[in-house]
Amino acid sequence: MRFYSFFVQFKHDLWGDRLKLMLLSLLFFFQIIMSIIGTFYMQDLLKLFDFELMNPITPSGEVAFADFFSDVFLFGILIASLGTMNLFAGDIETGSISYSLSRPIKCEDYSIAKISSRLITLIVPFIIASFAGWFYLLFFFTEIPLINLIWTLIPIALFYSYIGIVTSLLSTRFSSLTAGFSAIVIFVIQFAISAFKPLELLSPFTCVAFWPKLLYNNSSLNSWEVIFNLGMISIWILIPLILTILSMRRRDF
Amino acid sequence: MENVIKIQNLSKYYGKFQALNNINLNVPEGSIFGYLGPNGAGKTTTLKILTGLLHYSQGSVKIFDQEVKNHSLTINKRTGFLPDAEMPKYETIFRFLSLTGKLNNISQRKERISTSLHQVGLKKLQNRKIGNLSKGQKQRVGIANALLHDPQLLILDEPNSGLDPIARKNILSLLKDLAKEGKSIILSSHIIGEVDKIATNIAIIHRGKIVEAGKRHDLTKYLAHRKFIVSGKIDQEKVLSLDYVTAYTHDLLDRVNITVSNNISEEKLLLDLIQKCDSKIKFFSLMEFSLEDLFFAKITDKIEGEDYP
Repeated sequence: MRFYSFFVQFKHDLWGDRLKLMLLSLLFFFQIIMSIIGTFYMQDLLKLFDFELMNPITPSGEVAFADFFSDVFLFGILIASLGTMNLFAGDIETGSISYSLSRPIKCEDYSIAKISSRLITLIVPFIIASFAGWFYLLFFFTEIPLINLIWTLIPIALFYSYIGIVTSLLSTRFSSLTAGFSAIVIFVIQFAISAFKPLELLSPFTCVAFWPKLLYNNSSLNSWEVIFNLGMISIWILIPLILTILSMRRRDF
Repeated sequence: MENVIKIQNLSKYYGKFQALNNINLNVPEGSIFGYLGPNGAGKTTTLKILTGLLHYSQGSVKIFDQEVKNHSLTINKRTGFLPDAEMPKYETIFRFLSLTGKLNNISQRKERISTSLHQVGLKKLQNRKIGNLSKGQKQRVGIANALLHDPQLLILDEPNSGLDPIARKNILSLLKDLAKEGKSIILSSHIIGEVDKIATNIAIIHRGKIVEAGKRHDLTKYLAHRKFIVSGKIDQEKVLSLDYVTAYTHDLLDRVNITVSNNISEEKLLLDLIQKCDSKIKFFSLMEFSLEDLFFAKITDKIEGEDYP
């Protein structure tokens, strides 16, 4: 079976990452709940210290929903970079990749299995925590349509994949720390580029920034725009993925 | 006897540095092939090329008559490799071996893992994390990993490094038994004495070049015709005036070691010493050569006056 070795490696790595998965779920959950609590109770807390906001916001479920996604988005970028910076570099530095690649597995199967299992480890906790945050809002404050939650999760999950794959690509050639640091620099540059009109298509941030506009500014749902943005972000994911495989195939271990 | 490994004109560059220079080697089926050389000579590079972990710049490397460059997946199914590298320390021995078993599609995996751990004397530790093992135990796990799928060819990079004397003895006898079953083994080492005990074929590599290769017996026999131990009253100048004498030294017992061109027989030297050099010989003997002598003869004079790698 063509994909047998891929699935074996994937399952092995995913099981190996199970503790990371649980820990990250807790971290994301904590981040989301703190964000929601912040939205609803921050003003009350500030009053306790005789401090009032000049322009107090009106806490609502929608605001809390938008807040927790914007908070968790930045937190997730950091986690995705930190979580993948040693994906290949760790094995290459210790030499344990010699054991892995001397087994009967193709280099591309090995690389994709490692990347996909690690991305699942990063994205699943985010999805679990987002659903938990959504239920929390649903029961205590307001009802946010499930479709809005799903339409928000998809681009962010894809974006985290992009971050993870770029960092993995860097980790095939650099040490863990250099890969993580270089990745952050790349993302900051791309974030800056997304603010400039003619260059915005050169940044994957543009594709993700499209969704909040769609969901919260009462824009009508234009399916072509959705397809275009999903297509763009897929291209942003595919390019570093292909480069990672090529990089792994061409290097010596 | 067929050759399981055929290396022809193999060269490998790391940037501008040439790690392997036009190597030609054949490893016969069922042999234990000792691959010797000092640190940085190119042993690990050659072995990694055999397993497809390194790309080679030029030449041809065939295992089981298949080019490694294009068939490393099929070849890896029939070979077991022990790299000189760390293992994932957070995995248990069982889990580590289990992955090798699954990728090799081994049926009755648990039994095979048990058997190969038993072969290296680690059966009771299979649920222990690799990070909690001693260096020697890790090395034995690596050997068990290489043996797990019952490969026809074993490629072992420094198999005895970090092992205690008992484990060394056991591993050497295990390798001998495997060779008797018809498996071919190529092992690199700089513990020459141990390779000497089991190897049927030898290659010595130095600075990326093969300086000697052949059957172990032939190699030492070849050198045995070159060095003699002599004691008695000997005139050094007269001996050195013989055109075939290449070296004249004293050993620790104050005997004379005379090295001659390899086409000179012991009878000719003895006669010349008595007749031409007016020597009074008390003792004359061919020197017993070990593999270590061969290694030093081939390597030491080459590194004298240079940076030792």
